[in-house]
Amino acid sequence: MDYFSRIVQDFSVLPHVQAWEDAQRMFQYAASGKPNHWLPPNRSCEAVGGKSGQAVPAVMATACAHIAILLVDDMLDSDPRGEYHHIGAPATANLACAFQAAALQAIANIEKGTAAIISLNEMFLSTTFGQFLDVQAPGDESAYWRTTQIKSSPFFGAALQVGALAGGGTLETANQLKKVGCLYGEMIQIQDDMHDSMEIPANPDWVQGRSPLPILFASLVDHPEQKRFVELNGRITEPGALQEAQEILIRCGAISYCADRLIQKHQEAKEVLNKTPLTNPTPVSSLLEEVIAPVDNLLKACEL
Amino acid sequence: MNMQEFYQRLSIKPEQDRQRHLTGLTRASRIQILEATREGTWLLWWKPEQAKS
Repeated sequence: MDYFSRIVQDFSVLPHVQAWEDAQRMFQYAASGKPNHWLPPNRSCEAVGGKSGQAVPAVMATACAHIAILLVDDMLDSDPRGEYHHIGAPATANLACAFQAAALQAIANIEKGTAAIISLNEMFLSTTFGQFLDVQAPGDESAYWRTTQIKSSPFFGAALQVGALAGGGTLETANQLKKVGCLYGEMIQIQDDMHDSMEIPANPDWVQGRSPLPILFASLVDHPEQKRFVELNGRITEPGALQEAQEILIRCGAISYCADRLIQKHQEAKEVLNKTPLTNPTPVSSLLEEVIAPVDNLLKACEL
Repeated sequence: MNMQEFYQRLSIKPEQDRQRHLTGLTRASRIQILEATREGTWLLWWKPEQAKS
């Protein structure tokens, strides 16, 4: 099934937003990028024995939720690529509210609609608080993990949970899959941090003094180049500073630590999944393998 | 294990495969890391031209 075409069609007839040009344009634009992160509900739906068509409302809800979060995240990060540069912050905030409500609307009519709405709403509440904490820039490792678990995990946890509910899974099974999704979300956030810290030109994380995991590691761990790294981080936009700081990130073990945490989270997620009674666990287990595989390959390529 | 403990272990001669791999990663290139983590960027707009077929 081509979920992206299907949910574009469904979104085009959703009450209230069907005549809203900006909302339709934005949904179509985002869907044309075929983001993988809209599809986890399909995996959990199939895992509990549901048919792929049953996952459509959950995929659409996840898509709308993702767009809502992105619209706000761009403003919080002052991201130069954000939609708010085109239509203004007030209109963007209003659109984000619309997409958030559309996510709930999309899932409301499934058999376990109430449980699905509660799941999504809890996710929105947690994510917004997590975004608030993230803007404050966590200053130590425990604050980092807390922020990640509040900001990034809930989206993926809810995605698997509502997919399971849409597929007819029990509340207990859906809750177990939520745990798997939350660990998957932590893995995604670690990868996100690794990726952002290696980008050129400097990602907003560098420029705005944020502390993604690699930068936190290089700043806080007692290593020979710690002082130099902190100094470079303070003038990261100057010529040569970013490249040297990125080289230190790799050399000091910050990227290695991220990979170690990824492996650990992957193991924990597999253990939870193994304890979850499912008709067919393969769609979810393969989701976990897909997220760790590129990192496994990188580790093997760099073997001594 | 926290960050500091991990760093201390990384400095010891690695014996297990996992730790040997992680030590090797301190010599990875920036491009290798970017490529391996490409799918992890979740709070970023996907451009249509980057879509998989």
